[in-house]
Amino acid sequence: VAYGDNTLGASHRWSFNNVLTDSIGALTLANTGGAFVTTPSTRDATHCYQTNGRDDLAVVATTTDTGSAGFSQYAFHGWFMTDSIQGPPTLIYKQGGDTSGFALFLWGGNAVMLQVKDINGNNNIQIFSDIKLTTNRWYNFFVRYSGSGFNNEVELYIDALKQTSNKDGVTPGAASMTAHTGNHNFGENGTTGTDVSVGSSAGVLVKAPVNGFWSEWWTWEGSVADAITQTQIDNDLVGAGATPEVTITAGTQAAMQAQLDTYIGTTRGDEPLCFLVEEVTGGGNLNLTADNITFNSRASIHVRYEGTGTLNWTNENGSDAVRINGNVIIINPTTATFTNLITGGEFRLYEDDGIGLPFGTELGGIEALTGTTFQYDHSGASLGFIIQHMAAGYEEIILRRTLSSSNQTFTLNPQVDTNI
Amino acid sequence: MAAGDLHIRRNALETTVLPNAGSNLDVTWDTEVTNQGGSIDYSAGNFQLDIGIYLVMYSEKFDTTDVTNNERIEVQGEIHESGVGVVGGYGQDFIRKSSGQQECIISGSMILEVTSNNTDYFIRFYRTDNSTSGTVNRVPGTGGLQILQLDSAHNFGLYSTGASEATSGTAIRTLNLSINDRQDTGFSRTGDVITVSNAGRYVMTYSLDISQAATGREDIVGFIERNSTTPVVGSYGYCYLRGADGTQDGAITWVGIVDVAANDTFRVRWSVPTNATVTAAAGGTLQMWQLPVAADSAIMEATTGNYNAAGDFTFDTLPHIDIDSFTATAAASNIDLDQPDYALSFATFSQAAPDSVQRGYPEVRLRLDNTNINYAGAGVYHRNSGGSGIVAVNVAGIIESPNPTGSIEVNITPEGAGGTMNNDSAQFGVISLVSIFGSYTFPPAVSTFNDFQWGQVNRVITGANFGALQGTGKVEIWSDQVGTIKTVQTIDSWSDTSIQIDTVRGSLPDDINVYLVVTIDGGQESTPFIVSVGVPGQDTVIAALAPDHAWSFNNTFADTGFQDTRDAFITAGSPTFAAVPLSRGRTHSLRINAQSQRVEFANSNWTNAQTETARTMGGKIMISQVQDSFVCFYEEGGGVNNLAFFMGMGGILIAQFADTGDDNVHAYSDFKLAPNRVYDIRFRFDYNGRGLFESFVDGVLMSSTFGNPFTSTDLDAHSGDPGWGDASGTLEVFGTDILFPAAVISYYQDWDTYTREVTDTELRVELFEKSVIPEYIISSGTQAAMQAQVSVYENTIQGNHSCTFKIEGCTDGDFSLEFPNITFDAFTSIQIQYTGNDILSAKNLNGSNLIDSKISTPYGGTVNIIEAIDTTITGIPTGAEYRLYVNDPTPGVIGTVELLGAESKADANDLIYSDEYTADTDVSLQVLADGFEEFNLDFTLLSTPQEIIVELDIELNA
Repeated sequence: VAYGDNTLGASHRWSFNNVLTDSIGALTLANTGGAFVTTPSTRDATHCYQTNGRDDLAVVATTTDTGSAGFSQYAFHGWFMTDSIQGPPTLIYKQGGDTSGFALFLWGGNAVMLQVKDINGNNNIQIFSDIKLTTNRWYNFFVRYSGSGFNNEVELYIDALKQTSNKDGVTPGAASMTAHTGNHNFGENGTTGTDVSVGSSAGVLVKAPVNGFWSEWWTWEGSVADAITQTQIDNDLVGAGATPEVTITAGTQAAMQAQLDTYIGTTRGDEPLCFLVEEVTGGGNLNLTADNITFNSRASIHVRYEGTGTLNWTNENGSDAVRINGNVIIINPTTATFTNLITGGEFRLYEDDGIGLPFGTELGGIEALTGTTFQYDHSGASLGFIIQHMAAGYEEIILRRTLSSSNQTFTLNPQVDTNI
Repeated sequence: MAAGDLHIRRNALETTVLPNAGSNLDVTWDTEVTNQGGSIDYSAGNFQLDIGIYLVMYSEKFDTTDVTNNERIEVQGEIHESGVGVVGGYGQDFIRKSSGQQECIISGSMILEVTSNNTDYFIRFYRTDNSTSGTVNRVPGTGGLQILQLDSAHNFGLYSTGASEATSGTAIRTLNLSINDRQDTGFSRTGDVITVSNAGRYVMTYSLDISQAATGREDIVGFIERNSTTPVVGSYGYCYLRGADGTQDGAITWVGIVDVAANDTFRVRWSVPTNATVTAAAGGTLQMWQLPVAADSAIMEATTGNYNAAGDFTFDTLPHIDIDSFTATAAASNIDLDQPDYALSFATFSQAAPDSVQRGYPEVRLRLDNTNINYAGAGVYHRNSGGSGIVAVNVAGIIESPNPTGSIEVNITPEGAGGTMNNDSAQFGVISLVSIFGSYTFPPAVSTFNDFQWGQVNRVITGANFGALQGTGKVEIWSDQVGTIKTVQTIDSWSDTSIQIDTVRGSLPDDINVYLVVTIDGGQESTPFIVSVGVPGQDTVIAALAPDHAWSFNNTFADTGFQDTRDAFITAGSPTFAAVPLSRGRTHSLRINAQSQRVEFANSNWTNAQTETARTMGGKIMISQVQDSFVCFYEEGGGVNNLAFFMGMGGILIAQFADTGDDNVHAYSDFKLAPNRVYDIRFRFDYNGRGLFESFVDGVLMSSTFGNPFTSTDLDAHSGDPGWGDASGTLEVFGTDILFPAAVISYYQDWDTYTREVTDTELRVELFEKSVIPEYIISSGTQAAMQAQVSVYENTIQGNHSCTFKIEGCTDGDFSLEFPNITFDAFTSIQIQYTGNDILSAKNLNGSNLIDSKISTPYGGTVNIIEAIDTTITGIPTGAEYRLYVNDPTPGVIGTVELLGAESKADANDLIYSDEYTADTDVSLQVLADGFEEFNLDFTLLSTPQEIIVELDIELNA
């Protein structure tokens, strides 16, 4: 399924893929100064829209399902990139105006601010990005308005991560947003006094980012907006649209492991998606081991799996994948060490099913210890387990403990069985 | 009564308001500097003088923080005898309320002959302008009154005018002296000319009471002319009449030394070079005192130099010196004393040609051993536009120097606009009063006592005149200059020039400036000697970095920097001072309450009035809320070139360098600045250094910039008054003009600027670490007592602070403190500031997260962070005795060094032994519990956490 074919019920879609048309609704954008370029953007796209002058923009009037009639549930999302830090304040996107509407500002070293004004509600909601945008790196923005009769919240997500920094809360304070006829703008050519104000200050002259790039902007109105889940934002809006840094193409597990091994000892970049893993031959689960593959701390998705089964991704030798997309399990090998055991004794570890005897699945063990220690390697996942140690002449030991993501040492204390 | 008696008093604390025109301010002088001879009585502003002849000199500084309508203020000074103004000794000065000229100093001098015993004299100041906005206040610590009884047996020629007289055009006229108030041997008057028959040195003074009916800008100039041809070098007096706002009254007073040849003639000449009719009232004076042959003096002169430049003025020549009392050389700034003395000193600077200085105001003060004399000053307002630019300023004072090698200089502080004021005719003269009147009893004087800590022993005070024996003498430390709180110190030893003490705190404060006072046997006190106790005060720390300008905003707009003074002032709205200190030791900060409010200072050569190649600027800020607009904290310049601090996008701080056509750079904070949290913000650059524009928050370099490195050679001048709050017009931001309102509510403290790159260490340690106000203070005590204070915060999550804990020194010397499960916020700048001198071992226990990069030791101590490794011991029942020992291989011995243990375990919880890992350590665990067999287990403490499982066997033989 191509990215644009699964819009989750969007009302409008501007792909910017060499066209200004709305492939769902009828809101065709008008261009002032911008241009289509072949700069890589979202998956499946060949072009994106670029502003390379301070007054460039693509613009169209709002319609009944995008604001001119007001709404109580509404969302929009899209992809944006810029190739430089913006010196003066700039506008990624806006609809409406000073009394009601949305605006995504870009300033302060490429920090992002969502401003939602509504003359009938909380007149000035501002949500701030937790990051500054890296230049020449695409980001996905998802914005949702849900009136007081529904979730009563305004949200901003960047690459599916909800931004929590805000001024005085995110509650709209009204059942619906006031109708606003101000245009949808991608970019801006405003003049002082006619711009969207920043907060209570009308003196900020906001212009288009230079150079700004846009791809795949969609809007939702009504219950479908609130119905979009975190998983859908993760997988269908961001994961499915992000152009991967590396694609591990479909093949046998061995072949796919071989592809992954070409990246041993590398650090993946600040990207929306680092590894896209296609389905293993024949479907089902796939096990891959990353050997000393580390990730830039600002990368949004480390590993996305597009197969039908589960990708078990093992971090070995310092690998640090953690941000996953799709059905992926991360395994971080960890060791639990048991000491002061009786040589020759039997030692068993079981999953703690909370029942007692019979114990749960055996995790590891040995019939006869050759020394006084035993080591158990595991994925690092927290897990309750049971220790059983039996040795001739000693009392049996049965203990409940929990595995953690850190290496652990347990020193036991076998007691001589005096009832022999 | 005796010749040579003198009484000097000063204003140390008074900030009295000078009322608007129509009312008078008859001043009091709250602090005695010296009272030699004891015959000149003082009470509630009045000096009571007996029959005799006296030299009287006064000065007082006034200022206003108000800038409404740029009004003018004119202040007059007079000497009053029982409520009636005397003839002579008139003073006047002028405030323009623009370009930072917010102050004036009124000074006057005269020789006063008292004809009745018990006559009261006081000093009256009053305004004759019609301005009504704001208030004009006395400036404490800047003025005083000096009275010296002269010897009636000496020769005096005292003359005055009997009628008013007026100038006509620009012609120089002669003061029409017509009355011989006193004429002793060696003086004669013919018309308005005085002939002096005996060669020697004379103290001369003249004074004119001036007014005009017109409203122009007028420079009124006077001088003493020798032999009807030659102005006496350095004899110029001056006043400025503006006319506007009713400023039409003035006075000229001059006093100095004149070296006279036999039969020289003298007269007072005066004029209005700006061509106006100005009237001198009847009562103009020319007075002369012939110094006795024994009088030693030194005179320096200069016909060059800039007397609007900060620092000590350097003179050109040394036309006279008596080497018995003085040491001096030509082309120097100082005249040195050769004995303890009272040095009657005068200095005058003047220029005869206009220059370009607009609203300049040099403040001139005599100085002893690099310390300004705080009871004798003078200043002069200068404006090149409308006036001729001819200006003069004259200062006079009696300097008490118990130190036998005192060095006297003339110091200048430009208080108004910068720029050159070319001196054409300057004189600096000093007379030894000891050489005239014999020896004085000098008071005790402290010359050195270094910054100290409470409880220190064997601290040495050096000085003079302490007396060989202590007797009833004592040393006290005062909380302020008048001794509101006093604590007697412990004396170890006492000599005439040195005292050793052990410091005692009593109820005095710490970390502040205090005053040391030596009282000698018999009760005479030394002048309070300022010294810092504990950690040095903010003013001391900042002054050590020599900022060009510095505004503490500690309930004042005063600039305490080292260059032309640029006091700040309100230009929009009503910013206030709030009792919200942002720096240690401060009580107030500047608060901007609305987006339209603004505080400015006048353009300065050290900020924006000329090309810059290097700069550091910034200070403390705090905001009360997330800003909804893009706001401004500080800016200088405007729509073309500027430097600024902005904030937007939820708290991102943006430092801006804008030089249109050349370099444009932003430096961004790496995080959002939080409301209600104090931050130290600075920017810096140096074109001749690394060529980068950088910003710092809490002394940490911010990593994100845009536009670096520089490509040009300098930052162009960027006029447009600098200030805090609303940017007052658009600022260019990378080619786009934007209006920036003030951040609200925003607070400001300790802003200072430097024409250099302040170093990383100075930014972090001096300007940030030493200024922070900690969230908690762990007070000095034993280790156990201090641990108890820390443990109060066990199991807490601390907020985002500038500094969470300040830990004082421990009375045990090196010490350890455990931090039990105290989690510090990731954005806290300092987790621990240790102010002691020893070694503090700070141990992270149970998840505490102390880290090295957030430890502050600005005063020399050491903090070592100990990372503890947890060993968890499970299975020991309540009530059991348990002991964990370092394993001892001795047969029969479990261990002798106990690491953990209790007679009776208080609960059933797991035990955690937590300590630094240095090496694998073999240990032995012993558990004794009723009903169970004794349990012993040897194991090893490892570098990783581990769990020890104890399972006790039931005692079957019980």
